[in-house]
Amino acid sequence: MENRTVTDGPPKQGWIQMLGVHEAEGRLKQVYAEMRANMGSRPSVYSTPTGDAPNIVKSHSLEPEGLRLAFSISTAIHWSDKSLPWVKREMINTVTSRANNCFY
Amino acid sequence: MSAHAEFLRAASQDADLAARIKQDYRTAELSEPDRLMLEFVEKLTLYPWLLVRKDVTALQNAGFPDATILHIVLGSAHFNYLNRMADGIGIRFEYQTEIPEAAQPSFGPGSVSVGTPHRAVPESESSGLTWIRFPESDIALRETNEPLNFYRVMSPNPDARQLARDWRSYQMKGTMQLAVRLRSQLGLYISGLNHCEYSSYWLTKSLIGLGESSSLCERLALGESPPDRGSRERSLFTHARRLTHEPASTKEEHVQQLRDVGFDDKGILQLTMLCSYFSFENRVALALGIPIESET
Repeated sequence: MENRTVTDGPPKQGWIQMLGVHEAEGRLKQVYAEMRANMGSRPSVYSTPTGDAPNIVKSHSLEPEGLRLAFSISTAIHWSDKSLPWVKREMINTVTSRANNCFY
Repeated sequence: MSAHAEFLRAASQDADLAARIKQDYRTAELSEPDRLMLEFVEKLTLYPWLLVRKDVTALQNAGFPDATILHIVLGSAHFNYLNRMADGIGIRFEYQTEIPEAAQPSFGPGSVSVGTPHRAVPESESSGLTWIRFPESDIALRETNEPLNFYRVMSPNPDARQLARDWRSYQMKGTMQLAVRLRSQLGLYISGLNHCEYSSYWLTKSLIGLGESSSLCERLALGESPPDRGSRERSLFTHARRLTHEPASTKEEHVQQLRDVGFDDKGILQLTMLCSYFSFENRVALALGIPIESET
């Protein structure tokens, strides 16, 4: 398992270009704005230390439509009135990530 | 794992629970239904092709309504997508965490052999009904060239159902650097690696419609890469296999190998999204016993 923590290596966000909210233009800027509007009142623990979009979101930034779809379905699954309780969701997310050995 | 263990700590207000679940959920003090749920999630992630109806029945007997089981499956399957995106793009962890790092697990995708035999599903397991009940769908029942049962099973969550339809259409038909035919080949190869007969059926149908040979489709559906390809396409199938079965083993040098055969950042992203998408679709189909439409 490769730990890509804040202390590791040069300050790269990932292996490909990743655009944040402040660098976004055009369709990407629009998608980020829509995502922010749809986030509602999510707990502050989900906010990144920089206030930018999380890196997992930014990793999709070169494909704004793929970004919109991947995270819209995430919202429908995890953050709708149909969703499981918050604790259960995070138990599932953590165990899935653990089984995949995904450090992030 | 690190980010979501922190989120679990915030959600539960229980640092010990979060640390234990991050390390090994078996060491956490859990209710019997929660333990069953997490066993199911682990199997869904590591060996989805081994899931059988009795795994879902065990959840139903523990009191989980079918709509809840659907959301357990959708949630974990979507995280199988996200985990592959995180590891395939090599994203940096930007949150703060005080929860100890988990030790290297003794289990994991790396232990899965690509040559694992197809799951032995008893005849009764492959009958024409999904393993959960769902309300009547308002998706038209007319014959279409779409995997309708995949969408219908999501009927308790109409927004997710519509988005799943849009997402699949984007992956298979959207404008990308990889041709539609090659995307379908990769999807079929991944579905073969995951022993997902449902997705394999639909991807084979799509490929035959595009003029592909039956023999190549049969080969891909067994999780065997196509013969006689150049270095560019060979690198795609190698990368797809890694992301499917050993996503955490992806390194920057593997991404560089894709650059060396002509992919730019956008092409690498599109390939990663495509491979990761099928880890979602295959798991939903396998975990809910979605039958092929022609068998219903």
